[in-house]
Amino acid sequence: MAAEVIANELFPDSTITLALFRNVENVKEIRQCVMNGTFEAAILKTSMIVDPFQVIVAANKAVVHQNKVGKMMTKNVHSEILFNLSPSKNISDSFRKFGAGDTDQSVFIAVIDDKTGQTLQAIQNTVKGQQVDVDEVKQLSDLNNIKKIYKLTDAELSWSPLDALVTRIAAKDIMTI
Amino acid sequence: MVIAIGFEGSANKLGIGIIQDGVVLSNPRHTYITPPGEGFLPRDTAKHHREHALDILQAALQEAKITPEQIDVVCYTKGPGMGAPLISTAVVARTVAQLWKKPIVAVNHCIGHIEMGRLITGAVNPTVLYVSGGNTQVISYSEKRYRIFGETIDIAVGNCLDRFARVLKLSNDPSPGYNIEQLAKKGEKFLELPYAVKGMDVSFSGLLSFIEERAPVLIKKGEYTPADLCMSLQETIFAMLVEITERAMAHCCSQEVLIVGGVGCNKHLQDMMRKMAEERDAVLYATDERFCIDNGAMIAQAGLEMFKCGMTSPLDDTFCTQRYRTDEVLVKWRD
Amino acid sequence: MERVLIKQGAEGKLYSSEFYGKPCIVKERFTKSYRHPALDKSLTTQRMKAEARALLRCRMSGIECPALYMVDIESRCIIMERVLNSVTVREYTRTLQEKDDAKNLLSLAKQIGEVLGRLHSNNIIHGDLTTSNMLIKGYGENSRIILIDFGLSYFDSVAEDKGVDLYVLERAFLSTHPNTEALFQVILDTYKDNNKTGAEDVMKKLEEIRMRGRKRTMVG
Repeated sequence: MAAEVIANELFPDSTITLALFRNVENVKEIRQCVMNGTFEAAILKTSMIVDPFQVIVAANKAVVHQNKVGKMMTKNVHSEILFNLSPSKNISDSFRKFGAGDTDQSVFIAVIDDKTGQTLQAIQNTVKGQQVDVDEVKQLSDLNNIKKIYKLTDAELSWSPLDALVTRIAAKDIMTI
Repeated sequence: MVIAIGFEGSANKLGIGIIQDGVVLSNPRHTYITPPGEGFLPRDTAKHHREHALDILQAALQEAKITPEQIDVVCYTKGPGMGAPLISTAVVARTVAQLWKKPIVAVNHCIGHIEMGRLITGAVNPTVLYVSGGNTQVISYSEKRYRIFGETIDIAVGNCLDRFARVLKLSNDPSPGYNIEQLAKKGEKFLELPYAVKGMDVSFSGLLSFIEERAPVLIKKGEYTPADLCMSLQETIFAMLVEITERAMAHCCSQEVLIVGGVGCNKHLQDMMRKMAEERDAVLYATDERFCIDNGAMIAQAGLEMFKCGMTSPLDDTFCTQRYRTDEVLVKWRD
Repeated sequence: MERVLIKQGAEGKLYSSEFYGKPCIVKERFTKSYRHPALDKSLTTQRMKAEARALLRCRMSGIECPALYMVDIESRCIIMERVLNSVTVREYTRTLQEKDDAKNLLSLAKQIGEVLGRLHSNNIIHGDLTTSNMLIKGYGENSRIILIDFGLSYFDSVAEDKGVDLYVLERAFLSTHPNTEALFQVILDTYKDNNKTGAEDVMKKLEEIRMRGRKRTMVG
């Protein structure tokens, strides 16, 4: 099953790579690789994702901010994706809730500008699990938890959780609530 | 070769003008100017009009080199406007009409502005911004009516300017708005003011309260000069007017814009409107203070158009009304 | 990002495009050279923020509107969902009037009243209600109204502001769709049922505002 490599809509030379792994045994190890710089990626908690598009919107925003002076809130574009996904303005809280946990059994990966595909390769070599189609993340979402954390209303849930989430991600810095 | 005489006195300007087939033969006017910090009241304004009516009438006839016999129709402002001044002017019109045995036409003041604007500038079918001390409307002609597309939902823009001039105790000579315009030219620091465009309409009372409250304090503290405040006020209120005019133009797909009314004399407003028009490949038409400011010839002009369509009024119907919407009049003379 | 210009209004340009596979609208606001630069920047920013906030708040309150995909204040661009298979209520009304479809006109009026009632009971003021700023998806019984164009919106509980909101719609509605006074009354009646606590005050204000237009002493 292939990962998805998407060209950035606003910066044509930039790319967003998405990949999903299930039955993963070594989330802790993968996270450590990111922390010690073995590879650079956003390791996301699959239960907080309803659709790959949600991650794309967060990633797009991260890249846009990366290209502006002083707009990023975190240290790098990948941690920025986690921050963008979160409704909270608290950075640590964002990492905790949206980053994959050591005991998780699946991970959603997002990599910015993996031009040569080296990072993806490195990740695939490290992950002890099964790579599947990114769309399968829909099966792994925990809507109840998502509803709670994002404070979604019933009306929003009934129409489209995805639309509700991307609207929040896009509007986050504008909202004072 | 129809000759019309028009009598205008709905506010503090008394004007009597004579027009012959689109040519202004005379247009004298006298303005009632109050001391700085004061506005004009109906009773005193009416008194002013009564005091000057005959002199102005004589001047109009002499300048035009016209005798009363040559006049075909007497036109006067029916409304809208201030009661007492309107009536005192109408009385003169009625009297001469009966003396000279001429028909009378009762004219809507706003339409006077519009028809004069069209005559002088040659604009064919413009979106009209009518701005004065008592009116703020965006008007567009459609099916025999001058339809109001947007307007102020509270006070007129000229009123807003006049009242702010009082706060600053600016002279009312020649007009408070003119003095704000001159002072604004020296303004440098921009103060953000509440900007209120509501759909196609505008609102000035919130903005006025805001600046009336803060101006004395800001000036005293030395944070802003009176010039800065005048500049900021103009920039904001004019931007609001240009915006609603642009919206009307976009809606009506119009390529012409005409500014009429006393506030239309303001060169800065004209500049701003011109910039907007140019960006849309449209043309701005504006007149100068002879015709922007209330005058008798504009009443004669509109009256003339009405006369040619048979819209005269029997004496009993020649009353005045303070409230008279622009869209109430059937514009028979246009297609 | 390939864009097709679909409309150029007074505020800016509207482009049709795709955002990572999703049909989208790109709204690019103009800088207005006639405005003082500080005013222009402030207004544009204010309106973009207002639009984003309103889109979120409407959605949360159960009022259908486009999803928001991106807001870029510096380039004055907003990217949002393009609502497919929809027409403006303005076009829809014209079509129904041409067909003399009284039944669906009535049902449309009720739907509008319902949406506005819900909007105002959630203290959202649209600021620019016209039939061009409402989309309708579907036809007749199965149709839904989607509100758009929130650049002039804000949140307030004051009855006067809601009255102005309805007044703006009334004027836009009656001038765009002649002879629809009775239909507009249906909108107001349904509005009352959908904004039970506030409607009475709003109606009073609406009447006051209507009178101001007629009663204003126009001097000068």
